[in-house]
Amino acid sequence: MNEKDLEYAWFYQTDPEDTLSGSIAIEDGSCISPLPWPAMALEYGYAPTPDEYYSRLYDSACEAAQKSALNLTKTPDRQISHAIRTMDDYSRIENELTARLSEWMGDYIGISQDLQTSIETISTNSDYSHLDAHILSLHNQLIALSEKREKLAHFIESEMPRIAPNLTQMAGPLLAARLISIAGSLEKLAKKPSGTLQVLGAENALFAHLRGRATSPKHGVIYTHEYISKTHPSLRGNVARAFSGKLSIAARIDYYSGTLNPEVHSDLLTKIDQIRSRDGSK
Amino acid sequence: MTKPESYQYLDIRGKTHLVTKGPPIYGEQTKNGWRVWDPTRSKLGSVLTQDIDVGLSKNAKVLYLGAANGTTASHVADVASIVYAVEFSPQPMRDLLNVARSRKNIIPLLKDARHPETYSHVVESNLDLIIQDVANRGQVKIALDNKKFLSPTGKLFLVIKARSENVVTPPELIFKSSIEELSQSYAILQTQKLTSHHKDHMAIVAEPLPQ
Repeated sequence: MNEKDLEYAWFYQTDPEDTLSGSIAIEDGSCISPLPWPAMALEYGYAPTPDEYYSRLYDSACEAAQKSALNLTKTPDRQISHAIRTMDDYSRIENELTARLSEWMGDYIGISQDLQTSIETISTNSDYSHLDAHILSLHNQLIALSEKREKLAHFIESEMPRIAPNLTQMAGPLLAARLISIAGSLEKLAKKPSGTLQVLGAENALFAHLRGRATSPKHGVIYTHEYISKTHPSLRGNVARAFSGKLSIAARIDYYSGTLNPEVHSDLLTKIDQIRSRDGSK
Repeated sequence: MTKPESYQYLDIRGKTHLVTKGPPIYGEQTKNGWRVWDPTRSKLGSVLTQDIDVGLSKNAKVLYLGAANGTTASHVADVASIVYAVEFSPQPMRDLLNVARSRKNIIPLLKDARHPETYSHVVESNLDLIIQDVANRGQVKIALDNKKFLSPTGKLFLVIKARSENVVTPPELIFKSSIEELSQSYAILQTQKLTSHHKDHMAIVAEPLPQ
């Protein structure tokens, strides 16, 4: 056995009784080419039998995989992605339940009043029934959901300036978080070309376009920003392109440096004003 | 139909199923310790039910690239003696670790199959089989770069996912160029398009050419 080769082995100078040291070697080590490691480990004295070798490898590998998986997922940008998705789930469920409630109440007490008056009518019903209780409970659930959603929004608003200061300044905390959540992480967002960022959230339209069935989408979720939604439709494509260009620069600054850069924001403002000053009706 | 005792066919409730022996993990049907290998959930399972020999023999040593949630890897581990299961993404790795709890012959590795040097210090040489099912661009390059783990008599089972290479190019062209590129250092034994349950996928069985 070649001593030089042995130095690359994951078990080289690791304590057979210590899973942690093995897991670190598995995580951090590398080697150009594989060798018959089990046989070498036996000769080296790392394990008495092949079974024992594989059992120690198994323990260390499981520990390494578990730890590095958690390291990859337990990051602030991933937690914020979950927060914004939960927020969107809340509002989707809220909409669904609101539609259900108004349908139910329409059938139960007619259409004349607004929601609040209807709820009061039910809660003061002289022969208050189980049915009334269920309708009120649905209403209370809706209120609770909307409170939870707002609390999450506050949480995102307070966290985002720390996670991605430039992106947050430019897009607002909620849109910034949404972009990170669609891309998967701040790193992935920073590494996307701005043309991709421009159509994030419009994947169906984009793939329909790539397959030749449709025109290219002008914007994805960035549409929710007033730079785009408050610009004349014929100029939105231009604005979206300028906006996503600066957004991707902002994401890159946030990922690689993490400090606020005022210049990129004023650049964008000038650019947007320039585009908007064109006559959109032509 | 003769099969190695490693996997076999069994009639369960009037239907013939491909089965392996081991503890169940995802709610699959079982009978006498044999568990159903669902070909609609597993590309390898789908190919085996078409009676194609992929080199998955009893007690084989296997490198599984793109083990994902470990559904297919669990069946492979029922047959093989050791399965080095490489998966790059942390969320499926959590499921894979759960599968590995009931199967101590699965060695989970959170590594990138595009960089075999990051696990060459762990995965041994002279393996009997490489199973590759990754959703990356450059799938053939991965197969070429990982050839060094294979014994001269080993086999490669490769699933080419056309949509991962390029969503626009017709799958046929991708399959054709993939086979050409792979032929540089593998002898292609068989190709099989997976149509019914796995759209735009092609399975390739190959063995390494001597260098």
